[in-house]
Amino acid sequence: MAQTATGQRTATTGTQTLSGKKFQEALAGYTFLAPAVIILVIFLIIPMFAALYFSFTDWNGITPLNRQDAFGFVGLENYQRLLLETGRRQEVFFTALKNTVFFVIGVVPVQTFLALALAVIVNQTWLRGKGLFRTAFYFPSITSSVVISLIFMWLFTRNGLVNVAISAIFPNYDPVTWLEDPNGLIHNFLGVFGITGNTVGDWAKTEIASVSLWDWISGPSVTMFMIMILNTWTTIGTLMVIFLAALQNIPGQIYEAATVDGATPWTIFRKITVPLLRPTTFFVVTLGLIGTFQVFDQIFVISSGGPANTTLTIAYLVYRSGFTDSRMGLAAATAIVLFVIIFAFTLIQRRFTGERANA
Amino acid sequence: MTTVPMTAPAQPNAPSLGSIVRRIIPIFGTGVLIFFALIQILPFFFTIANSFKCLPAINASPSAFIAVPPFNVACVNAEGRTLPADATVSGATFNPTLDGYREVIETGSLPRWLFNTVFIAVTITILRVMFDSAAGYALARLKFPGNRAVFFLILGTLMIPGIVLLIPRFIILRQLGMLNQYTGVIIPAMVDAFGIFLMKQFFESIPDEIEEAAKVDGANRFVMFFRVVLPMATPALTALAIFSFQGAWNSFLDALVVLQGNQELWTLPLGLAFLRGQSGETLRWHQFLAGSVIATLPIAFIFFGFQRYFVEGVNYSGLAGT
Amino acid sequence: MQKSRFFLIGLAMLVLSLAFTSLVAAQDTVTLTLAIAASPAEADAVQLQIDAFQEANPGITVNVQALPEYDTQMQTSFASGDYPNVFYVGQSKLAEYADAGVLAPADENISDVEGIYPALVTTFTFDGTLYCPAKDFSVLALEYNKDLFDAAGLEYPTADWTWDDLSAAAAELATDDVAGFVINPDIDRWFALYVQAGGTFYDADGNFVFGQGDVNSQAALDAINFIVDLYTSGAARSSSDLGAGWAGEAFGRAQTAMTMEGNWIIGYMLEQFPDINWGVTQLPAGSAEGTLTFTVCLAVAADNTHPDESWQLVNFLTDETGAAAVAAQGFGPMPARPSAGAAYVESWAARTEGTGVGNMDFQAFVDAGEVAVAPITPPGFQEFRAALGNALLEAVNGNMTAEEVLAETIAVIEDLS
Repeated sequence: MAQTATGQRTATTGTQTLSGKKFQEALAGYTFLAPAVIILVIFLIIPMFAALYFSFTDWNGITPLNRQDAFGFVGLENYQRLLLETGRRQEVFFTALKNTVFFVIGVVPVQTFLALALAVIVNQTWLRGKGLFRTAFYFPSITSSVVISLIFMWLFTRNGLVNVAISAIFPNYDPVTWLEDPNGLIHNFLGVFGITGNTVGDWAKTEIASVSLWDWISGPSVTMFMIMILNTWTTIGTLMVIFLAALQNIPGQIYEAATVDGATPWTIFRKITVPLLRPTTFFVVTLGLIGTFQVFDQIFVISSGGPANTTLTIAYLVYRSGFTDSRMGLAAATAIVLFVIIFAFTLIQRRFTGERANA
Repeated sequence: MTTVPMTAPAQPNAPSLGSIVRRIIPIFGTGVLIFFALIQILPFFFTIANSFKCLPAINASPSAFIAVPPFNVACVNAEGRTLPADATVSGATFNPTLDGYREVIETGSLPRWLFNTVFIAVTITILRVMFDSAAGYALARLKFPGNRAVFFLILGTLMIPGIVLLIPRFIILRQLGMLNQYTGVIIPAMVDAFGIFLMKQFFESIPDEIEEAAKVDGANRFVMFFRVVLPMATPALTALAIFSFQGAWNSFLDALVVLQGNQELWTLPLGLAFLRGQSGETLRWHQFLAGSVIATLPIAFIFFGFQRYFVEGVNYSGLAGT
Repeated sequence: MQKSRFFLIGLAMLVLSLAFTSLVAAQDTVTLTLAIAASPAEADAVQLQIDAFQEANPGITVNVQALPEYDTQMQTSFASGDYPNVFYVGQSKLAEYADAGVLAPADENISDVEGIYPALVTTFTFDGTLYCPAKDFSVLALEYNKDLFDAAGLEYPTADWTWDDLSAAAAELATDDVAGFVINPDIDRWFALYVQAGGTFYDADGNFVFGQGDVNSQAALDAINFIVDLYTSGAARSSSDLGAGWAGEAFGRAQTAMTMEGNWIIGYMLEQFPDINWGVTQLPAGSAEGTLTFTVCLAVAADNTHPDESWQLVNFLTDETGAAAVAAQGFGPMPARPSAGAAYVESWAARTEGTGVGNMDFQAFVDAGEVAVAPITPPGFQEFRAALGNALLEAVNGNMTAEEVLAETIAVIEDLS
C-alpha cells in the first residue's frame, strides 16, 4: 500500500500504524540485539565493573574473595600513585605510556596504509593466482601470537636467520642483537649528530611525571621497533581481508562507468575507492588503535617488558602488577586508565573520519 | 553518483608508450607482490623445514633448508645417544626426520586437542556469524531508543585489557558451573564486539535504496534481514567466519583459565604451551616447531578454501538502472 | 491411577536410596586435587608416584592437574576461593601466598623436617612459620669446558677456587671468538656474587636488608665491581653478545670456557650438545662461599576439606622415599634431602657413560646445597627486581658506577616499602 494513501487516514488508523511501525522496529531491534547484549553484559561488562571496583581497593589478587577481609578500600590512592605521586610507580606507568604511544603512532598508520595497498593490488583484474597471493599475505595472521612470537625470537637471535641473511649481503655487518637492544631510535638518530644524553644539557634532565625529558623523546627502542614490525607483519593480513571484503562490495559498474568516462586508475582510487571505503577505513583505524594500545602477547612471550623497561606497555604493566607483583588493585586502576585513554582516542578519531559513507 | 573529471580519450595513433606501460605494470606489480608474499611466507617455510630436523641440527644450523636423502633418519645412534649436529646437517642441506612430529604426537594428546580445537572453533564460528550479523544489523539499520548507547557499550568492551578481567570472569563462570567444560569456552565467545562492529560497518555501507524497495514491497524487518540483506553480505560474512574461526582456534588465555582442571578438553594452544613446559630456554624446538606446524596448517587450508568467496562479488541487479 | 502412583513412589524411593548409598559410598573415598607446573615428562613421572600413593592409600584418589601457565592459573583459582588441595609453590611466590593466607602452616605435619637441607627450610619459612617441605631444588654451579682448558694448558677449576682464580683463568682463556666466562647481568645470577661477597637478603627479624647496612652495602659494591671488571677486562661476555639465547647455549656451542648455570643444564647438554667435554665444580668463593638455589615446595591449601589426607600426600612425595624417587627420576633438580644425594649422583652414571661429562661431576651440585641461598624478594617488589636488573646492565655497559647502582636500588626499596 502506498504511503500516501495511508497518510490521509492519519486521524484514526494513521497514528496507530506509525507508532505500531516504530514499536515493531524497536522490537526487531531488541530481538536482534538480545543474545549479543546478554552475553556481553554477563562476560564482559560485569567483569569490567568488577575491575573498576577493585581499582579502589588494595586487593593483592590472591586472597580468596569469599573471605571477609580479603581487601581494604583505599579510594583513589591507586590512581594517585600511578598518575600524581612522584615515585617509582609513576615512573613505570609513564614509561609504559610513552612506549605504548610510540607503538601506536608507529604501527597504526603503516598497517592501515599497507593493508589498503595490498588489498587494492590483490583485487586487480590483471593479477593471476589471486587466491595464492591472498593466502600468502594472510599467513602471518593465522598463527597464534604465542607461536609466531617464539618463531620471531628464533629468527632474530644474534646467530639467527635474519642476521645470517644480512651478513650474506653485507659482509662487514656487525650483527645487532635485535631483541635485547634498549637504545631508543630517536636517541640513535640524534646520536649521529653528536647529541647524546651527556651533551644535550641539563634542561633535559627535568622530570615530568618522574620521567626525564631526555627519556620522553627516546623513541621506541630497537627491540620495541622489532616488536612493532612483528605486530604490523601479523596484522596486515587481517586488515587486508577486511579491505578486500569492502572492495568486493563496490559494484563493478561504478568502475566501468568511470573508466568509460576516461578516469585514470589513480583518479579512480582517489575519488571513488577511498571515499566509498570510509566506513571500512574508520573501522580498520579504530581496530588498529584499540589493538595497538593493548599490545600484550608479543611482549609477554619475547621480552617481558625488557630490556630496561623499553618494551613495557600499559597492558603488560597491568599483567605484571596484577599477577607478578600481587598488586591487583593497582593493576585494575592501570587498566581503567588505559580504557579511558582508548575511549578518548576513539571518540577523537570518530570526529575526524566521520561514520557514515553516503553512497 | 560522484562526478569524474573528464580527460581526453587516448588517441588511437599515439605511440604505444601507454600500452607498453600498461603491459609492464602487471609484470612489475606481480614482481613486487611476489617479493612481499615471500616476506610473509619465508618464516613459515623455515619453520616447516626445521620441524623436520633433529634437535641439535636445529640449534646448529637453522638455515639449512634443502632436504636430502637419507630421509627419515633416527636422531639417535645405535646406543640411543643423541647424534651430534653435523651428523644430520651440512651446509644448506639436512636429513629430514619425523622425530619432532612423532614426539609431539606421543607426548601429549595431540589428536584429542586437535578435535577439541576443531569442535570449539566451528561452534563458535557458526554462533558468531548468526548473532554478530543480527546485532550488527540492528545497530546499523534499526532505529530504537538507545541505539548509539548500546553501540558504544559494545565498542567499549574492546577497550579494556583482558588480563584484568580474567579473575572476575573466572569467578562468574564458576558460579554458572561452566568451568572445565566446552560451554565455558564457547558461551562467552559466541558473540564478540569485533564481529558486531564489523557487520555494522558493512550493513551501513549497503545503500538504503535496497531496503526501501523491500519495505515498499511490504517486507518487515525480519524478512528484510534474512531474505534481502544477509545474502548480499556474503563477503563480510566470509570475513567474519574466517576471523571467528581463527580467533577461536588461537584463543589462549581464556581457554587456559577455564579448562585448567581437565586436560582432556584442552585446545591446541594450551597443549603447545604444555609442551613448551616450564623449560623456557631449554625448549625442545623440534617438538615445538612440529606442534606449531600442526596447529597452523588447518587454518591455512580453511582460509585458502574460503577466500574465493571474495571473488563472487555482490550482485546489485536490483539497482540496475540507477 | 492408583497403580501408577504407587509405581512412581516406589521408583522415587529406589532412586533416593540409590543416591543415598552412593553418597555414603562416596564418603569413603577422598578425592584430592594436586596442581603441578610441569613439562610432559615430569608430569608422567609425577603420575607414577601418584599411582604408587593411591595403591598404598586405597581410600584416597588424586586428580593431577598439570598447568601450562602455572602462576596465572593458580592465582585465578585462589581468588575464586576454590583451589586445589595440594600444589607447588615456587620460592618467589611463598611470601605472597603465605601473606594472602592460602597456605596451611606446616606445624608438626611435615615428617622429618631435620632431614631437609636447612637452606630449603628457611626458604619456605615466612614470618617465622614454616609452610611446606621442598620437593626438589636446583643450584648454580661452575661448568667448564675441559677441552678448552686442556688447549690452554690450565688446571681444571676446583671447589677451592676464589674470585681471583676465576678472573685469572677467564682472562687467559678469552679469545676473540671464545669468552672466558659467560655471565649475564641478570639478577638471578648476580645475586650469587652478592652472596659470595658476604651479602644477605633478610635479617633475623625477616626484614628485607639487601644492600643496607655496612656489610651488605659493601658486599653489593664488591659484587657489582667484580662483574663490571670481568666485562671490561674482556674476560666475561654476555650470551647474547655471543649470539646465544642463554648462557647454556653459549656453553654448548663451545663459545665459552666457563659459565654459571644450574642443574637444568645437565639434561640440556646431554640432549642437545652431547659431544662437549665438560665438568662441574662449586662456584668460587668471594669473602664467603655461596650460591643460589631455585626450589619448589609442595604446599597444602588453607581452605581445605581434607587437610589430613593432603599432608599424607605431601609427605609421601617429599619424605625419604619421596626424595629417593626424585633422585632416581633424573630430571636435573636434586632431592631436597642430603640423604638422597648419593643416589642422585649415581642415577646419572648410566646416562653420562660415553659422554664428555662424568656423573661424579654432579657431586658439585649436591655439595653446593650446603651453602645455597634463595634469592627471594618481598611481595610487591617486582619493580625493585626490574630496577636492579636495569642498573646492572647500565653498570656493565659503563654508564653507571657501582655506587650509583646501589643508591638507586636503595631508593626504589624505600619507595616500595
